[in-house]
Amino acid sequence: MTSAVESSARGRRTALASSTTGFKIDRTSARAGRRAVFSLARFSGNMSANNAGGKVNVSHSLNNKNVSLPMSRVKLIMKSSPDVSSINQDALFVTTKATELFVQYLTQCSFKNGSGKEKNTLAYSDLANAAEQSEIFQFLTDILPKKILAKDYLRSLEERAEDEDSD
Amino acid sequence: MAERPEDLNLPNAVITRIIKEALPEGVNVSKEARKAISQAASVFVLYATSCANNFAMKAKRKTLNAADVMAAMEEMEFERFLQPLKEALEGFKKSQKGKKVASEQKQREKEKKADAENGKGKEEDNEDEEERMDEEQEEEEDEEEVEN
Repeated sequence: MTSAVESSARGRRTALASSTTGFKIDRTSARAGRRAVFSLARFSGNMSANNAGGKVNVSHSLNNKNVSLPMSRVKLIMKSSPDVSSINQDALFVTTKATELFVQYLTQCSFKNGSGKEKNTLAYSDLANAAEQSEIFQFLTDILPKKILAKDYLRSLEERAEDEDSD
Repeated sequence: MAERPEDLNLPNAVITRIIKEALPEGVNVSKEARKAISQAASVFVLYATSCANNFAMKAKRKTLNAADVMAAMEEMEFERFLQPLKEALEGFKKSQKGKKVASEQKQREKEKKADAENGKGKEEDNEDEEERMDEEQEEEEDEEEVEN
């Protein structure tokens, strides 16, 4: 684990529990007008993105009765949910397995929707795009926000202020 | 056992493996993307749990069961997972049964041995008692496992 994890540990927990990060503003187009969004720090990392095309194959190792993810860890996460008293073993297994399928699915969808050019790396932006474009990943838009340059954000703030003034 | 915030994440190595297996050979994943997928997976667990819990509460149950989780998947529009999950669950149940039978046998053998050493008579009565004790112990163990 990196030190970034330790320093934002509480922030992480908040993020998981309430799916909002500390300092963040939303960027979606049209529907509710225009709101600018960018997320500070939390999920930053490198931003490499070379692009290559290729076929996506189905993972076969996940099609067995066992799971790779530790059920004990999944249980910990489940128990952190309010109102949950107890969890039956079968339910825990199904949740763990479903999470593996989810990781697989999110990975493949994000990769497929990539820039369309030759692609040999899956980048954060691919995930953010998938979250925005697919309805099934809507619940992830808060934790996978698109990134914009600070100057663009500031500019859009100014524009908004101007709009309001002219009313 | 104290719950550290880091523990609400899933282990990096396993997540990375699942990601790599889902992608064509030779494709890399950025560190940022890996981290984001891991976090997304944790959020997925929470979302699924919350959804499943609603189904359990509707049925006035306090314990989440597999059907609740399946219903949650459908609610979350992950119907594509239902079939593979059902199959995986069957396999899981079978392997659990196998384990249980094996451990029951071991338990009985242990107790028989202990009885023989203690030189107890009336073996038939004792055997009945052992079976009852086994069942009670199993139930207790199940409850312990589920509600820590």
